[in-house]
Amino acid sequence: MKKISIVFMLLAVSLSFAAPKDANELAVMVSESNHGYKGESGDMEMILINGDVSITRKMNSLGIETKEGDKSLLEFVLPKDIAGTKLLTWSYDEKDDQQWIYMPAARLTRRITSKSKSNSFMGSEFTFEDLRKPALEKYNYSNLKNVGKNYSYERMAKEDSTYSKTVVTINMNYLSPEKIEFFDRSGELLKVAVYAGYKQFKVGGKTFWRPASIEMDNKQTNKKSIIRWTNRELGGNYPDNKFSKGALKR
Amino acid sequence: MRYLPLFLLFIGLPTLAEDELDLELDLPEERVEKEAKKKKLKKPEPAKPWRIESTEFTMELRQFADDEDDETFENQRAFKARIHAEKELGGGLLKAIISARYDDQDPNRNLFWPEDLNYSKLLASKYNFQVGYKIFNFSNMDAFNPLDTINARIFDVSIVNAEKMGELALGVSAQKLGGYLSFYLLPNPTRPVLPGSNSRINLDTNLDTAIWMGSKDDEPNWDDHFLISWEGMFGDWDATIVITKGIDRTRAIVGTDDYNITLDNAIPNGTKFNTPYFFERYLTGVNLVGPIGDDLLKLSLSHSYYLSETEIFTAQQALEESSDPDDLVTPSDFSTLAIGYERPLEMSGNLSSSLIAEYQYQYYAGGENQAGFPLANDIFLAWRLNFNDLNSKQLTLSAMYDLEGNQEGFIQVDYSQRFMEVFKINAGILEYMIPDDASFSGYGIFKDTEHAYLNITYYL
Repeated sequence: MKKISIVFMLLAVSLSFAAPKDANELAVMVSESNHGYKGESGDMEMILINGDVSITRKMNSLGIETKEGDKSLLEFVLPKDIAGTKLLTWSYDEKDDQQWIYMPAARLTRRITSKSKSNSFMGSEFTFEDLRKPALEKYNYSNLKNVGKNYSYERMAKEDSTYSKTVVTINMNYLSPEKIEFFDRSGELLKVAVYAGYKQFKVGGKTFWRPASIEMDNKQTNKKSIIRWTNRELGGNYPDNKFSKGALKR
Repeated sequence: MRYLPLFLLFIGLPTLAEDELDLELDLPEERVEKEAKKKKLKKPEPAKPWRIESTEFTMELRQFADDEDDETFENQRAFKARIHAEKELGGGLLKAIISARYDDQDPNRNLFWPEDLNYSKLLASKYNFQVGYKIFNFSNMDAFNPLDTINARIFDVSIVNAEKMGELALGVSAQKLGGYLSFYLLPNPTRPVLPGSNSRINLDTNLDTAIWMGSKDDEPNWDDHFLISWEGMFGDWDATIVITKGIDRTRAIVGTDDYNITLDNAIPNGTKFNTPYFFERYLTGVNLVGPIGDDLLKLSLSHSYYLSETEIFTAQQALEESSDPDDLVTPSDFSTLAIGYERPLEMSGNLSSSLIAEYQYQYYAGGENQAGFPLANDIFLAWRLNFNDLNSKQLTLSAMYDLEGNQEGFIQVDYSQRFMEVFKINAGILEYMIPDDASFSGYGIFKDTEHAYLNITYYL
């Protein structure tokens, strides 16, 4: 009986990670593989590298899945002059995303305009847009290519974006990005993000994969930013009211 | 106690978790035995120590323009310290944010004040109870925030950036009606700090202790003041609704209420005209912030209803030697419309910037701003440039102008950046444009206070 179960499980895994017919199907597979994690928390370290200069920023992250989309909360720990600053993001599946930043020194919550999503996040090579969950319905997918054991596709935002397109390489072992190439509005390669150190998490019997680090390399300025996660946990039940604008002030 | 029914209505009937209710129907002997076992098993948790969240020390330097007065200083130095510490206690959180400033030239700025000094605890997983000193914020604009008047402030040489002081509050907040609903009792209004005789705001005198004026004339220090707020969303718009009863500590009338009226003359019973009177009022209003394409539109509507009709023989009246009873002043009820527009601009590289335009209009009952309160019909323009770099450099150019026709206004250049990761520098110039014949009210009090400033903060 045990052997039958193992064979069945292997079959199920091989079926779920089967070769996609087109880019759209792969995007759906990636999106669906990420449903059901409930809640996620972790400590983040962001290293900003400009030539010989390297500076570290620290944050705590918290996120939940809701019916409408994902909600996440980043709280800064370092540098100390902005400790306690919180970034609240509501990433909707269909509507426009919304972001607010709470600045404790002024005790002020500012709404981030949709145009500001292209701004650098904390002086890093990541933009506010990069930190939002790329909802499936908000992009067109094309040009599926086989890259060794993996597949890549082109992703173009249906609405205004910082990028003309992104080329996403999906690691078929994890159904998660291995590399994303970002092209600027004039079509030139701007940045490359490399996802590494995938770790496995189980929530309600389902397997989820999360990278231990993302290295963003700006090909036009030669600057680099690395985000590393520690103490990451999936499956946590965090109350929705933690992710409300009113709760930012508490 | 009048608001107790409202308070109870607000909190409703909290649904306690089953483990808190202990519904087991044990016999008394068995229960005693179980309780004894529980007590034996429970080890007392060690008390958690205070956690220092941040400590900062700031050297504040100001260079004022020469006012050709030997008795006033041109160069001002002050030292400010601020500490933020937290401690988990009894399942709740004890929070302390305390500030202190030392200024050897202006004793009115020698202060020690709580910003937040409170205890909060989440009950029944829903209701956040809080008691202690607290700073509230109902701002949605840069210059005009008619609903953001709950806290007392430290009034100094800037018309828009007065520091807030903690307000004694006892309240409860919860997710209700699709937003975050709060109810607070504010029983003891904090006294605002007003400029003294040594300030560059040249009052020539120290003001007497402030008096609260309300429906009972001289109101007690402890009173039945409250705040109800709801913060949520209407569609894509952030919305805040505020209803409060309290002392309006953003507007004072300086003078005396001790006078007699004989025939057509108001005759003061003394020579003291330096008492600041603050007036009790109901304030209701709404803030809205929402996207218009790539831009943000901000709206604020409010109405202030004052409870006192006592007229004040003003310091200005004494100065002008007027005894005309028509010159006596009481604050008129007024409605405010503030509107703001923020447009992000395209910039090259990592730079980002935004243009901000704000306008505020106040309509006074009877059509007259009798008390001469500032910001009644003003426009504010600003351009904020963010370098989005490692040191969070930011440059802001701003200007405010009084459209009432007195040609009053200011221009400010402000720059800030972090350096060596633990220091922050903030420097700028604040230039007031006040005509020589400006009255000693509104912007007029800022005459000759234009200055350059440099603040260097060290984060421990």
